[in-house]
Amino acid sequence: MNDMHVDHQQSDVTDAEFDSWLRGVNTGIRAAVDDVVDTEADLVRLKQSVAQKAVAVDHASGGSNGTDEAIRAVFDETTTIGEATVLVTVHSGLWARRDASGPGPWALEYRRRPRLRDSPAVIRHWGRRAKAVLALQVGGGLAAILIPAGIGAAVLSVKGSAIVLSVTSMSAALVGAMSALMLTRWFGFGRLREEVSGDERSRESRGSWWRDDDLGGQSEEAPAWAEPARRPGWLSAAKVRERVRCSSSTSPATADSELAEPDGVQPRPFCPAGMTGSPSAIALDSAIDVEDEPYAADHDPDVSSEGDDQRPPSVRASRGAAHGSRRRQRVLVMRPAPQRPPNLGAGRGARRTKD
Amino acid sequence: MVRGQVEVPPPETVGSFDDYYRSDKTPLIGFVLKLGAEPVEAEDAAQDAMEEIFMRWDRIGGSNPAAYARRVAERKYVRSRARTGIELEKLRLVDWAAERAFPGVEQVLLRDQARWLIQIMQDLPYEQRRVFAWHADGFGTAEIAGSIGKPESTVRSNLRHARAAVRKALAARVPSNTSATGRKEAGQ
Repeated sequence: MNDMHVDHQQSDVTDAEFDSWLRGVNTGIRAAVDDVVDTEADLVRLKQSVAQKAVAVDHASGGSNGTDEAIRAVFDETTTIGEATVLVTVHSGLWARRDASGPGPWALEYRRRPRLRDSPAVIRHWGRRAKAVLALQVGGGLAAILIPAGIGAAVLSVKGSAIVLSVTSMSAALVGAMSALMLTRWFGFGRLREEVSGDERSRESRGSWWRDDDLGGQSEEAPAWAEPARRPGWLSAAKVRERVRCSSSTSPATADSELAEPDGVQPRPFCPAGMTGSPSAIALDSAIDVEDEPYAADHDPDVSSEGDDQRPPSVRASRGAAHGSRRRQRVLVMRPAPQRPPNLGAGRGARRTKD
Repeated sequence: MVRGQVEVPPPETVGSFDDYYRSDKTPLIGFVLKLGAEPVEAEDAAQDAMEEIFMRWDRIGGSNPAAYARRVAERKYVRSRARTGIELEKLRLVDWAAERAFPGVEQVLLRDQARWLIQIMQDLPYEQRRVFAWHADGFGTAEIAGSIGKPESTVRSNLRHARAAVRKALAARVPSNTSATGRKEAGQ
């Protein structure tokens, strides 16, 4: 490491002294950083982040057993932090949950928020969307032909009265509108409404999320609306239900043994074919407490940590600041502007000032 | 296991990554600090680098993950600093923000000697600074050259100049009549 020639002309510090000093300073830097960084918590966050990306990609590609495999690969059984835990966020809307009372299998919990693309008014599938557009065009074309035809026929009628003219034109317009509506409903929106029907809509209207409790008991069959066929990109409720069912009856010991199973092993009877990785995947025998904020006391003036923390206040403050750095926006110091600040946005809705 | 663009290492290798993470996370943050990063930036860069390593652990775990981690962390830091610089420049144009208007977290985080070393390193040209940071972490010139993609002679030259500059500053800081005490204190 120190095999290079060093210029000694302008200093009286010898090579050995300098190297010793450098090692000492380096050790000091590591110790100072070690005081403020919670390595174990960061390790769990790292794995969470990787699992989250893997799950997101898996969902985007149509969903498969990869979700469970990703979680199993990232969170191994030796991962422990904190006393116990409760919830690990795997993906937006997808959680791995476990009872805090003791070691037990993890259960995937799928919480679903109503989204724009789930609205009955939005057609997601491109084929249905094309049909709906076609139906609208045909309906509109019929209306465009029938309405003028009706009005024209009435105008040209020499035998009719004013009432006949009005009725004719109105009937023509109604026929056009109804035909457009029926075609549209038949080919487009109507089928979508069938897809998002009944219980699902009522759940969404209540704003409730799906939990394993909501998904019913172990012997309950998945409802028709939970079929995954037309929900690409989302973990279907049926799959989630099966996984929750599998995990709820999987003991940690069984999960451990299944981790070592080679490919091709038949799935357990209560798990559907193609989900061989599911039961063991969600049985994560670890205690991960990622919801707990380790340094909440540093930020909360109402919580006193003086008794537990012997470090100087400045260090404790810096610990909190440094620890909470992940994904935090940099704070810039704003000086009070001497005059009204210029319009940075300069876009729609930007506030205009009069000088 | 590969899921689209995201690679997840085999479960059996996760344990060894954990050991590596525990041993090298703090030194990696220190490395980025020595490059001139603030603690917040350093922690972010180190965490991002570790994440990349985790996803490629089955390939690089057996070789030299520490060097790879430093290379990635440095790249992350430089990119982050570039982004921050652009944002600051926009705000500075309208006289809205000042960079480092108050002492950074490192002022209370690091002790005197470490703070002084990092301050001195900021006066070095970037190439000398990065080579010195690698050198301080225990890497030899050949390893540094291989990692940063520079000829070994260039690395050696940069390191020589960096060491000379730091030694000169150290000698000026520690007077000769008190050098014994100063050196003893510095070596702690």
